[in-house]
Amino acid sequence: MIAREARETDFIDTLGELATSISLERLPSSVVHEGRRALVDTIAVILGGMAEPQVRGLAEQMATASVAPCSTILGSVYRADAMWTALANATAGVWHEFDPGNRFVGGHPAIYAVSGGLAVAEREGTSGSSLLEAIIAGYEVAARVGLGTTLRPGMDPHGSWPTVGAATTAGLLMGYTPVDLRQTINVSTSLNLGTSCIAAYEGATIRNVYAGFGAAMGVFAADLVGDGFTGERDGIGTVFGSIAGEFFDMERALGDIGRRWEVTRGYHKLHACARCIHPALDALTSVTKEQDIDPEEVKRIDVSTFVMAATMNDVSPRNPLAARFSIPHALASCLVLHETGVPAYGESALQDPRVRDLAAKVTVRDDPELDALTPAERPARVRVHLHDGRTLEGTARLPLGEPDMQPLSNDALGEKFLKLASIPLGPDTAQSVLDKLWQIEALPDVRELTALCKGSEQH
Amino acid sequence: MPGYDLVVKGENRGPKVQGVEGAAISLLADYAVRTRIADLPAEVAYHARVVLLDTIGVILGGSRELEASALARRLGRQNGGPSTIIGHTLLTSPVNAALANGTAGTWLDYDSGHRPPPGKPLLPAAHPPVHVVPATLAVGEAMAVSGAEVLVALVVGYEAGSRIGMASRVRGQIHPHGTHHNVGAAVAAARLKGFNRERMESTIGLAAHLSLMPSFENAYQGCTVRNTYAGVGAAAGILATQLAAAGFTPESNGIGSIYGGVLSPWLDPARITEDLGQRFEITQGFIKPYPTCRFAHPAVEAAEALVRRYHIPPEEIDTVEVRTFDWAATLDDASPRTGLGAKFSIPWAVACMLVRKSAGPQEFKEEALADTEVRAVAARVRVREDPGYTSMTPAKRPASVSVRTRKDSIFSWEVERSAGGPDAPWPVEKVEEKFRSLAGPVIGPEKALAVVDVVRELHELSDIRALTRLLVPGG
Repeated sequence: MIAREARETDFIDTLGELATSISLERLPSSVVHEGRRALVDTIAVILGGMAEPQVRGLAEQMATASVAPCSTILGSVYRADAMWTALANATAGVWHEFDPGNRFVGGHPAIYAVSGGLAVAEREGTSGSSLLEAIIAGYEVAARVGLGTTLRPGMDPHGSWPTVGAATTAGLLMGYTPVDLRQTINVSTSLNLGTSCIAAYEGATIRNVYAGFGAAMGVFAADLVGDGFTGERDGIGTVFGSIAGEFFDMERALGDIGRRWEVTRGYHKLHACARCIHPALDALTSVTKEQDIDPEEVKRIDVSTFVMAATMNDVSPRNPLAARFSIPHALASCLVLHETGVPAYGESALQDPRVRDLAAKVTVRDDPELDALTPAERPARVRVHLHDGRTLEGTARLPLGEPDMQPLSNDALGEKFLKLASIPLGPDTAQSVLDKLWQIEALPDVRELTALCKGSEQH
Repeated sequence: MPGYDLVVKGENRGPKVQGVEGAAISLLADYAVRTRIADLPAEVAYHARVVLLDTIGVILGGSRELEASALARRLGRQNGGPSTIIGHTLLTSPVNAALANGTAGTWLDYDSGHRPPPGKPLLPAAHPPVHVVPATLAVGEAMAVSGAEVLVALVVGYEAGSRIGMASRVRGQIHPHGTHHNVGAAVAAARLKGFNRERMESTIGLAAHLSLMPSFENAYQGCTVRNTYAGVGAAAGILATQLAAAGFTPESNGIGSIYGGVLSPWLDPARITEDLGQRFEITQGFIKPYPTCRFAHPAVEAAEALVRRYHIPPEEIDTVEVRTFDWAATLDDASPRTGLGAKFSIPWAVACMLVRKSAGPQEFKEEALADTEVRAVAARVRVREDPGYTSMTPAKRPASVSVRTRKDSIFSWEVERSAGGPDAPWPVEKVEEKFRSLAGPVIGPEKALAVVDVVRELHELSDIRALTRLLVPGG
């Protein structure tokens, strides 16, 4: 045998030890609460996305691909291997661009931790509190890796660093020790995709599979460690410090670790579109709250916002996903249809001539002064010029639903959940699922939850 | 067979593709759906059969490794689907089979690779077969296709992945497994599924988006997640066909974004289609004579020449000097700690040859690492770059081995091109011998012989399952 070389504790040890030591009793209640809210919101968007024909097609394929179908593809009639379940669920969950995210980290850790975690928890028959602990831990690990990472220009974080969150959550639910968890993290880093962010702008639906594939690879990584596979000593340093990015910022990744919990800095969405669009939408709705705007009276709309948001300027998005990355479409849909949720970005909204005409009147500019305020603020200013000569102006400094800017209330979150979950489950079952999720710690076996999330052919 | 070049004709241009990369992919897709068995020159069909046999051999050889077996048991069941997990009495879905078989096929580092012809400014395309063959067999078996269809799928898949690989250059620290050959696996699978050109084109784009960004460091450190890259790539190729069937869409220029930006800093689309249909990359493959990194081969071959010619008692060895070209000279770890790490160690491989007169799969098992006699000689091996040799690459990839004994005798040998490549090909008998040595212990010598016979006449086979059912242990 070859002796293990002695080495000092490093970042990955810190992550592994933190993740394995998490317990709901010792965590501040606010952290547990935010973990629960991330779970509620994520299950909502998975259920809401499952009705989409492409997702259903994928779900069926994943069920066929499976030999041990012990996990539920939520909102569908299908069951699949944990890995393929995670793939289908996470793909559904990002479909409407409605899943929770984290502006400090710059990505969406929750969908990975929840999709990977739920599929494995159901397979293993773990308790609700174990699931919640593992999700908070997976979120934290992914977010910490994300904080340290600056991806290459042109990459999409989906399918990249958040994969490590799915791996961590899955490993914890399999009862891994810090040593096994370290191995799981290091195995998962080389199962990251090299992604392109253009897919989202063009509305190429492969972009939704980035998340699905990442969640699946997280589960796969944990299972590989169970099979005896091994990973390099510092997969994070290699992959995120020299391949997917050129520098890993350890100081940022470690900042306040163990004291500040990244899940408490996450946001929940009120609008089913890219987060960068939300300030412009909030600015517009601050105007419409004061007075109605007849779309026919609008001469033009000028939007000033920060640089990243200003790239979302397509006045004629070619499909629903591209529409979720278009400020002109979002504003037009909001004014014409009085809608910013899922229907605002559906095919019928996209084909609506009133929406199309109004979108063509929207101009988006980046404003260096506003950009200088990021990332603390993510501002937008909207000026609506009317035919009668009046100009109505609204501004927003941060989108609603940020923890530091009118966080989404539990009631509003529950309402969002019921709306989305009712699509495949119907309102009664949706309510039962929501009740169970608010009390997830009381659940002895998560299968009680997943059994309710089975869809039927009719819906 | 029509020629394909980037002078794009209107009718060849797909509706969704943009830019010159899009045009290249359109041509590639057209090529992949239109090629018939009759379009393959005899030499190409020969190489396809050799690649198939050799790849099945290395899959069988790796299939019984502890971790690969654990993975196989997790992904398969006795009646788990239409596709065989090779080397096990386990069946599963095509995507799971490709995952398991691609992983097993990488295990011994004995799988064949690709090296472009000397004198051409082209880059090697790494290891197409261990991606393309698992995807082809898994889907081919599920569709019960003919041997001829398998050969065609193999050739077009090999071309697709290799050409993208040759047209780009993945960043240094990225391991090329699981990257561009995902597209090759996808093309082969899509071909077997009978996709039309438009759907083939989507599949190529979708597969590009499922490219891993894996670390080469895992190979150097001997960490076995590296063996899954090709398995994941083969599975991702099949997944791309499933996504295409479900209506998922790729970027209009995903190939350009991924292989000309994210994974590789540039992509030269003209290289993707240059002489497509006339030049076949599958004829530019090499069969590995030793289960190590290809760069180590000239040194190991030189050591083999020495032990075949001279009697050099290992205990008499004082020093061993290996001189070789730059890339090979990095494989200088004299004390590898894992079997995988040993495959990336010239000192280990050369020492095995000098001490055990062999550098086969046995020499790279974990148990072999404890061989103190080999370890003692490995510690005496010095690996140096020879700038003269480096300047001869890529046309030649030389190495020399000089053994100095304690009595000051010096035995030296030089190899300019290692055997098994297009410039020093292995005769088919050697390929078959290698296959039997790998397959025999797993499926028995009779079945191993039967596989050789079936593959030799593959174009006559009406149902590929007559081959795949031979690839499992037991009567």
